Amino acid sequence: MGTVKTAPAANSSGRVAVALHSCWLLTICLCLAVPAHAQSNVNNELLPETGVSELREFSSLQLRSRYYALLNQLRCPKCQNQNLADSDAPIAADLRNELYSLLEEGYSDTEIREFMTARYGTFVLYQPPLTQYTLALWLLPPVLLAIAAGLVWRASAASRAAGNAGTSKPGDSSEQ
Amino acid sequence: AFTLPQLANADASVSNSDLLGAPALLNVWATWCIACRAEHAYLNQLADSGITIYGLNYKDERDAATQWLARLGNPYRLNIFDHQGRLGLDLGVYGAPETYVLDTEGIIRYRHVGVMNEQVWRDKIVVLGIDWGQQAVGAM
Repeated sequence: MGTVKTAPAANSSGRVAVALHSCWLLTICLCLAVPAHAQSNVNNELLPETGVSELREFSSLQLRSRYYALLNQLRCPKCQNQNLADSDAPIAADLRNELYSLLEEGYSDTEIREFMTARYGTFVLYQPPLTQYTLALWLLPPVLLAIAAGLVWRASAASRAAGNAGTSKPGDSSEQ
Repeated sequence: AFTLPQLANADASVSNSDLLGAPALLNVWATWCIACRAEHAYLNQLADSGITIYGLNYKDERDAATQWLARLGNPYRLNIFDHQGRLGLDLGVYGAPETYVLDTEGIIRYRHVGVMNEQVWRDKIVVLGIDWGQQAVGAM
């Protein structure tokens, strides 16, 4: 992808090209890192082999898939950054049992979250609710991304301007 | 609301209404908890000075707990035997030791995670301004 810079890239347009590629790399890394940090993957049913597993029998497949989804959305209260699926802590085991019971008793996902937060606070939710206090938490990643994109755009504009103003090198196709 | 057996007597039960009427501490402890042993002397001291302390024996074994108290002293007016940790789960307990401060109506005013000692008492609990009735822990 992009331009293969001619070697040796000792001139300014070569250095700008390197900087431009670094910006793209950083932006892509931000794109990948931000969603993973802010939320867990809730779409896919996890394989039972993921993390700690106890043998459980569910009365329906739907309960089973909700169980594994919720295991990833709930944080172990004692741990800094492990969800119920991954944590060995005794309280995590207790909460997994509780989750299983609540599901079998017919609690909805919302009711289960309320149950957990009533006892352990919103800390146990990997997706904190959107309130005035968590506004910064939710808005910051997209804002940072927009800033990064803006910087990349400006660097790209500068490189195009530099490329047009200086001598064009054969094989350097960025300004064509 | 809960009803659970007492530690001392399996046939006697204790429920939340037993904890009402006066400010008190609810101390979550267990024999498997090393830090609980460290704070125990201070709990004895608090109890001696007139502070009411209830115990929540959390996910422990009755015999071991009883022997532990016989050996180290018993500051608890009542001890709740929460073998499964159900009451703990409803309170938001995730380990031991933890200490809850209850007011006269049984409302939790503060939750302290970790060892209870003089510094915590002074900095976190005295400042709540609760009237402990009898003489609070003396000149500290």
